[in-house]
Amino acid sequence: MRLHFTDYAVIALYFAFVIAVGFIIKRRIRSSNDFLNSGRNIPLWITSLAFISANLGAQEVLGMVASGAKYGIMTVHFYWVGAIFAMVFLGVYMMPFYYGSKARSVPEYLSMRFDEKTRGLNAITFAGMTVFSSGISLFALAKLLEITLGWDFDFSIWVAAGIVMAYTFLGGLTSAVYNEVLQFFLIVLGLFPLVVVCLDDAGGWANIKANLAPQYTHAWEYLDTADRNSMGINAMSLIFGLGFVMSFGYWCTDFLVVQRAMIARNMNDAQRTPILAAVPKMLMPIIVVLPGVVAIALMQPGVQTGPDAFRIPTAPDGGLDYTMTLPSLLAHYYPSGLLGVGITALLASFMSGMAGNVTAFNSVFTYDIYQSYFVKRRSDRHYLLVGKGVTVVGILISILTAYVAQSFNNINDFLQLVFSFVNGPLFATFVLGMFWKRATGHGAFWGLLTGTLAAAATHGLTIAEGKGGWISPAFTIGSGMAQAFAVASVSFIVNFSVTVIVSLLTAPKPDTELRGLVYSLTEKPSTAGLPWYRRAASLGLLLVILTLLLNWIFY
Amino acid sequence: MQTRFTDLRFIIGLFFALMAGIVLSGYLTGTGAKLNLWSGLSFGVFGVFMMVSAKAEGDEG
Repeated sequence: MRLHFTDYAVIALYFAFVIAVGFIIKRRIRSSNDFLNSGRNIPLWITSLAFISANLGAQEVLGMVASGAKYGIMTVHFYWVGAIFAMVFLGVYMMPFYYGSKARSVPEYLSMRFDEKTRGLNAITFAGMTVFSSGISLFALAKLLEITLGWDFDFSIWVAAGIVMAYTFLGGLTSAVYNEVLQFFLIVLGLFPLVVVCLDDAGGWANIKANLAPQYTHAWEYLDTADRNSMGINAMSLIFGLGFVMSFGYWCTDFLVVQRAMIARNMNDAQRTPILAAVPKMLMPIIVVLPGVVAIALMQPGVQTGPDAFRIPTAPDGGLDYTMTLPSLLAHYYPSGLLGVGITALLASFMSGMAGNVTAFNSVFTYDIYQSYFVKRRSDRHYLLVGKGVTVVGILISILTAYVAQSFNNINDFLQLVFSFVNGPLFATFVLGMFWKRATGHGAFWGLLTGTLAAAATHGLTIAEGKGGWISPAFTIGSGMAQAFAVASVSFIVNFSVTVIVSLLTAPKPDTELRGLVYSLTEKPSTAGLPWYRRAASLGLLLVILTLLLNWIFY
Repeated sequence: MQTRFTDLRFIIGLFFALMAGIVLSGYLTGTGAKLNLWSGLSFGVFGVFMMVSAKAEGDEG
């Protein structure tokens, strides 16, 4: 892939704008609350698009196109099973506690609801995860640019990290959020022409269906047993593992996304943020799954012939290198000029993911670790300076992680694995904390700890596609994805059970301390007199119906 | 005018308008690819729409 002047001009324009946004926002930063929490003053349309964009990182864009090529239309389950329902649940049922409690972060909510040790456990693991995720994202970006454009690895790392540092240091969370919205439009509008041209080249959806095996174009029909589909899962494990445990664990508890709703102007906006974000999320498969399905269809005999026919590149092991599906589609279909837009969209997805991680790390480190355990009761200016300093430190750790990842190939897999151990059980802690007033701090802490250990043990006792089984390969699972669902499911069940048992054996907080934190002791936000489109519950119901409809259409 | 620059819609609109200019200039001076023409026009329309819809008083978001 070779870029020309117009392509570089688009990339330079994008870099100039994201840094300019940092300078514009800088004038509004007067306190640590402005820098780390945007002063809770962001309009609804921005929080909604930032909510979805914080998740629209490189793994999402490149990964879902790759999955579309590998698994076909079943990849939509990550949206229509593994996202929308959890986003609606977050908006309708959980935001009243996150927003109403006035907690500045998800770990701070845990401190109010349970105790300091539960907060500390969550804050430390979350801070570690975000900063390492940011580093892995940076590594993946530099590696991709090295392979596709021949850019120097070090140059890519330092330029990308430098730009993210510039705008997050200048404008904090608001700057990151504003750029996330710009990045959202860039990714969607920059990749949409690709969908149109490659779909047209493949002869339209009807021709794709005619040329692909039926497993590639049906979302549910081949999920009755694990051996009838390429994902190696059945409907029940998909619904419980992905649709319930993993999906709710991520969308309802991960501060990286929840933070975007917590900075809304009022409770109603905070509740509608994830619900309105679910609208583009529902349609996102058009941009990130469909090109993958089309790519594999284009390689079928009879769809394209000749030396110019599109092909997904081959990996060193001889199989298809699915990760390169999107870059190779861009190189094949985009002329100079638009190619710059496509590459910039990819850069935007990496930088969006990195900035999201860094800003979430900032808030959690400053409020939940530094202010809570090290330096309490200092001036606001002190915490503002610490927040800014943590931005620089967070980016430097990310850069270090990227270089470590370069030297140790499987550190990425290892870190992703550790993240799944930590994230898997988390939803049980929150759902019990918010909806069962008898849950105690001791219960939450030990539940979280044993849930994480159970996740690690499940991975160590199962083997799938050569991974896992490091304790003993006692059980064989059909695919890595099915194994991930199993790990998440076991960790949820163990956390839930241990939290309940330990809670029943320990003394709960009095009701007076739980008002605004637990469902049964909290006054519900009134929506009387509001039109249906301003009510979180009505909007959520509509989205659930539409999502079920989409699942039925692509059954 | 200066306050418009604090409105995110204006910033996004300006970005897409300038990007449309680059893509269209590539069409006119180099590639001649129809995809650049249609995409550039679409980016331009979107950019102008966002700029026009921006609030004059700026977005104190």
